[in-house]
Amino acid sequence: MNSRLQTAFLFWLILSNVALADGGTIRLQTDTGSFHITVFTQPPILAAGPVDITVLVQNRKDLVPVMDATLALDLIPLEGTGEKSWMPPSCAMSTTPGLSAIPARLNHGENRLLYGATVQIAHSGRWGLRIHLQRASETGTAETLLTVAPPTPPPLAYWHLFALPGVCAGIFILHQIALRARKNGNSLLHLSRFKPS
Amino acid sequence: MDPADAIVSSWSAPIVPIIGLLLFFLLYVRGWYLLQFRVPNRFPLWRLAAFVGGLATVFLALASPLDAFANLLLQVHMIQHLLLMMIAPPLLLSGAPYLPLLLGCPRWFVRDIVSPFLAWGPLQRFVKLVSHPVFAWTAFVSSNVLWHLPFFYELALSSQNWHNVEHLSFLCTGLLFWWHVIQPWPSRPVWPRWTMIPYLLLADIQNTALAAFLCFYDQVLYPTYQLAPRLWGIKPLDDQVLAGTIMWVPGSMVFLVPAAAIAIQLLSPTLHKRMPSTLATVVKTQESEFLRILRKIGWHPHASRAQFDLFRIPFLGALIRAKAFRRAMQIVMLVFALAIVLDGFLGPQTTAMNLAGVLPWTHWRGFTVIALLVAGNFFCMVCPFTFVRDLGRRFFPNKRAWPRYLRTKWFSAVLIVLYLWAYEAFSLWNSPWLTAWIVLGYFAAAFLIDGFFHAGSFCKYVCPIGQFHFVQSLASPFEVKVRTPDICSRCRTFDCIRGRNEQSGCELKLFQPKKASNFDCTFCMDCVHACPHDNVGLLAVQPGANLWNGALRSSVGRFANRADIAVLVILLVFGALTNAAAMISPVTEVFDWTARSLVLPRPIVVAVFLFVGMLVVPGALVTACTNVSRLLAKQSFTHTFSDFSMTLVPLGFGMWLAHLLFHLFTASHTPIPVFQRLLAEFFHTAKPNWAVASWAFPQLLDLQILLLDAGLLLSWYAAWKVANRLAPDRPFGVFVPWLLLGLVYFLVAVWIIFQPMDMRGMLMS
Repeated sequence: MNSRLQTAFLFWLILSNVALADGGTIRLQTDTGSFHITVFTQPPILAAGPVDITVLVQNRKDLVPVMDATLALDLIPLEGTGEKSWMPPSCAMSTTPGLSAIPARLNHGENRLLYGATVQIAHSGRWGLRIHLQRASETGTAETLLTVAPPTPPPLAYWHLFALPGVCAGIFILHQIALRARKNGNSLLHLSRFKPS
Repeated sequence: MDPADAIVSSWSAPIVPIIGLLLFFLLYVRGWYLLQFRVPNRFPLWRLAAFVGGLATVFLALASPLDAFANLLLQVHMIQHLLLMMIAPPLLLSGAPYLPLLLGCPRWFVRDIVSPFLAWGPLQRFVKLVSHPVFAWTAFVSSNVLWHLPFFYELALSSQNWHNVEHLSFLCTGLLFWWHVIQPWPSRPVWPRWTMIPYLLLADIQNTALAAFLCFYDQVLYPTYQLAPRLWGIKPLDDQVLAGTIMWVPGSMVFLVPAAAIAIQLLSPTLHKRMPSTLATVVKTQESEFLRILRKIGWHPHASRAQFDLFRIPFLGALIRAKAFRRAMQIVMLVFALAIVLDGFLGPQTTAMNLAGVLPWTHWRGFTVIALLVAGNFFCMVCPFTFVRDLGRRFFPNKRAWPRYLRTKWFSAVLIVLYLWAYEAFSLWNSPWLTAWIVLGYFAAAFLIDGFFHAGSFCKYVCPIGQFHFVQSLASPFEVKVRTPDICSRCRTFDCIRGRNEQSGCELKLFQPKKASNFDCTFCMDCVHACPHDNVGLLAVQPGANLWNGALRSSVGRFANRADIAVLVILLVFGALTNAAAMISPVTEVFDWTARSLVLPRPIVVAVFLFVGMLVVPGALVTACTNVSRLLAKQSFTHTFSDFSMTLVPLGFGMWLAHLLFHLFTASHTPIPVFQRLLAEFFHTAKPNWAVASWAFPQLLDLQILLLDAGLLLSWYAAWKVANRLAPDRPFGVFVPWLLLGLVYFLVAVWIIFQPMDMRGMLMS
């Protein structure tokens, strides 16, 4: 594979993983100004760590999606400085982005009608989410509360990757049993007996 | 952007399904290509089109706007389900995928991996059970009903994992159900053909009942759609009715059309006659029929086929083997090395601002291990020190033989220990000045050693970098290797080692017909150019196979007799752990605490750490494992130790990859401002922007764990093969100590990569 293909594959791998947002759980539906907005979060049960927040903005009158607004999100810690979130070392290198005026952009995720941003919620507890919305001279603001659970323990978040060697070893054991059964003549298929013509 | 455009452009790229679909596509196309020459009447073009259409339908369901809007509109979700249950499976099965997929796989995979499973009694019985029409029909109908119950439907909507399970169950039960309707060749019908008419009609009745319920129920069945934002004012109940209609009308057509086609087929005298004769060719079991067909079309599990050769790839192959390309790349690397030396001496002594701080320690090491992983020892091929070494030969006699007592890997093993110690003790990575001295020292060593000694003595017996590459390349997927052994058996000139005309042969004395593995091979391609029969290629090999086969290797001997190589391997495998561990905060805190408490200089503390981490602990563990294995295998200590130590190579390689790729990705862009600085100094261009982006992404840790997984599995497999070779009667007991050693290593490696790591060579805010 040449380097261009490898680069393209790498970017595709990275982008497709980053593109989390495709809705999620509805946190808020409200009217503000001439807009009707719906706020989704992903994962459905919020935990300290990376959270995907997406917003559908519609005209209040005819519910047609609005595609030319500017959105910003504020996350305000309300109570508690619960268990701090864990980040993979590669992410921890970057300074924690501020949790105010986070721009939410179109084309953030799979559903291109939604405005979205991935935010790093620093710790568990109750958080306020405020959405600022602007289109030309029209503005709107909406608020909701988010209850954030403690972060998933890091090893649990990667359980599927830790299970992989065990699963492969299990398949290998079955394979060896099957191989032994064939050697003992318990099967109908003896491919190894056929020599090349 | 217009909302309609936004909807149309709402495509995604789900990685796992796409990789799976691409894999099936490639396997089928390859298998179909082979079959259409051998049995063209069975595999016309339309079968290929049907199978590819089926894969495209699955892709459409999972990656198109249908998936993006499934959470907002029930009607869209219903179309997605119909595609997975009723459109994709019949199309896939119409491609008669059984034989093409098998023939599309590598022959060794079918012979060694698939064939034992196909022949395994319990699996045959399980397949017989699930492929029975009653089971298939029940599974299909149950899946359809169950996932449309509000509880399960909501579960799938609220969790991406459950949503994936739902889609998978639709596709799998769909394949089971449509198997009996399509009856892909060479399968044998369990029931008479006419029974497929009630089979389809009964499924349609269930589908109609469910659709009618959705249409006529006067409340919104699924709370999610009640709450979902109403796009263009579409009401949830209208959405539900439309979803029910889609399920009812097009859904029923999918059952009724094939039922009618079967009825017409059975009632037509000509078609009716042809059908049994087709089926009559099928014998009692699918497996024996499979074998019979394979033999009939000339496929044999042990037949050899030309291996994939990188040199055969147009343009790329010619480029890699061209002498001019190698020389040009060496000059490029030499220019980089000189720039590193100059900047190291003359530039700013802040690591992240100096070429000597960023290029050698982060980028060169990262790209080298990637090359080793995907191809082979390409760094040695373009090594700038080789270029200087060739110059040395012009100035000095180059006649002496390397001292006999140094013709092992012991000396280079000591150099590796010294290098890893100096790296941490004197923070070489943090000193452009010292880095420049090391590069200069390397040049001088290569120049002098190969100036006086012949036969590539520097590469073979001294260069620690070369030893690192030789060891890791044992797990690489390509090898400089003889294409056709028969040609070599008739050869009497041995040009690959002696040379021919102006072309020298292998200076490291690797005789191609007996080379077997990448060990000690610098990918110089001299043997390729020297062979008058053009019989040496860069061939695809099974990664790691040389770790367990116990072959006799030219100029190396058997690994079982080379304790020096085994020790070198152990040092590099455990060096991967200690090198990474020394950069994580828990270990650096221990360093600092020890240095403070005992009032010891840091180099001493590091030396003790490396002594324990690279020599004492590994030595104790490997000795214990060897003793258990050798007692059970009744082999000598040296043979057991040397043989099993080699099996740890993939594990160490996985750790080196996980560690060095972490640094490469996190510091990917750091050379850019350094080059900007140089340009600004020499040409007064704009000032460098030190705030650079990086390739770091949240899933980097997933990739690191996957690399460790792969290393662990390959090491385990290698150890199992060695255990089988040493003790065929009781391999398990011989293998267990190495299984446990691999597991312990894996757990320590995982713990290390979960820790915060020094961001070396980076400006941190």
